[in-house]
Amino acid sequence: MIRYAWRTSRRELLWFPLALLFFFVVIVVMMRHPEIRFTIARGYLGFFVPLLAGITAAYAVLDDPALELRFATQTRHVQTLLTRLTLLLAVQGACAVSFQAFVSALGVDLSPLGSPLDVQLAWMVPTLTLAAIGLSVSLASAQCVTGAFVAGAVWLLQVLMKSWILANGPRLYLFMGILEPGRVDLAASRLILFAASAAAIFVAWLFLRRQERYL
Amino acid sequence: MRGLILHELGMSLRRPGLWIAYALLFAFHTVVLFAPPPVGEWVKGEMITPAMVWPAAGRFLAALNVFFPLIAGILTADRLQRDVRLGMRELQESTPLSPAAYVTAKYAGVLASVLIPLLAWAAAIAVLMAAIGHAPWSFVPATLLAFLAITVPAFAFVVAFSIACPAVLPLPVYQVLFTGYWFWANFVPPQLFPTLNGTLVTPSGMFVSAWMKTPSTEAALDAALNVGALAVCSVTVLALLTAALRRRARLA
Repeated sequence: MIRYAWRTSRRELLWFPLALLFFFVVIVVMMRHPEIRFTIARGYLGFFVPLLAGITAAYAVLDDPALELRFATQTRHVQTLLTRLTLLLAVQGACAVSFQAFVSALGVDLSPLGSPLDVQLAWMVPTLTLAAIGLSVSLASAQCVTGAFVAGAVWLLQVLMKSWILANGPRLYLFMGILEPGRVDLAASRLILFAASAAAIFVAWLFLRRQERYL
Repeated sequence: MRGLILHELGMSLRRPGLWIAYALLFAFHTVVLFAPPPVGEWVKGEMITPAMVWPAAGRFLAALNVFFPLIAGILTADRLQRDVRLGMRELQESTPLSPAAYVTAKYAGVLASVLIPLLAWAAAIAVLMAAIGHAPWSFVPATLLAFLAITVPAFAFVVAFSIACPAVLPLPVYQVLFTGYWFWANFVPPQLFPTLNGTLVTPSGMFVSAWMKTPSTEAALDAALNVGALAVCSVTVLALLTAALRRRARLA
């Protein structure tokens, strides 16, 4: 199932994350100052991996020329949804882990973000949340591009309006783990975002069951 | 040509995605404008004086340039690809329609479709502010002129690239790159990281807004050069797209 999804998915799902990874690897190598290297590593893991996941998730299910054929098979909708999402997150995860291994080899210290588990959660939580947003909105509107721009707009809103969101709804701030790792409500924020992501994926599944909307 | 523009405009305006995105942002900006702190910026008793009309109009439209062009850019990126995907391009190529007319009509229709709802909302907000006494009535024409000087050049620039670039880049790749570009080129301080922010190809409207805030010959020149540079970039990218389509049609 995963092999089929991999073979039928768009090639940019692989080459673009790798190209972005390579770009950031080059920048980290070029920058010699440890603080700048840390900032770039944080930027890649905390901002660019989630953005990429959010926009590509919008295309994960609907951008399939064989969608009608897929609906005609015995494959369950939940299986289709989770396979596509897992594949996408696996590629992003592999890039994030490879990047961490590379910057660690260069001596970049990611411990200001917390324990090794905290470092992983710092990129995983926004990545999962934006992917869930992109996926669910694209299925809700039956248009990939709608999911893509909502994921992009949420990303930009969260990046630019950090202080406004922290003042008015801090637990909904996607980048708390990467920018404010010392906050006391970080665990609650992660829990809420995880629950919201699960709810969004559930809603996406409900939409996908009404397959005539996508034919 | 006129029929093609109107057809493209109608198709773009009928997209639910456009209205969903704009409705969300209209609601967000309305709350920010009319809610008291810390949620919004509305201070009871404070009003825009006649002397502050132009700076306020410039600030208002520059604030709209933060999110709306991003939405427009992502949303309009599939307009050419859509024609290819739905098999329309082959039909269009079999007509006497030239690539230049096709690109111009597509561009004009799409650009108008993303500008019209925003113009209507901005004008309504300006009228509302004047009607409730928060601003003098001169704020309404000032907002409309600021729309022409700040919003239109930014959207013209963004839509030109969003129509042209997906001809050579996969759609999701362009959308990711565009979102990253929009943040990098408009909001990253030049002191922090090398960026296009602050150069004459910054589409955020910062130069026109600065000129409206403190009018001077130097500021007016910067604003004119900024708008001119954006126009040159837009025309260049559309000309390249036209040349690419012409070449593709010749090879087909």
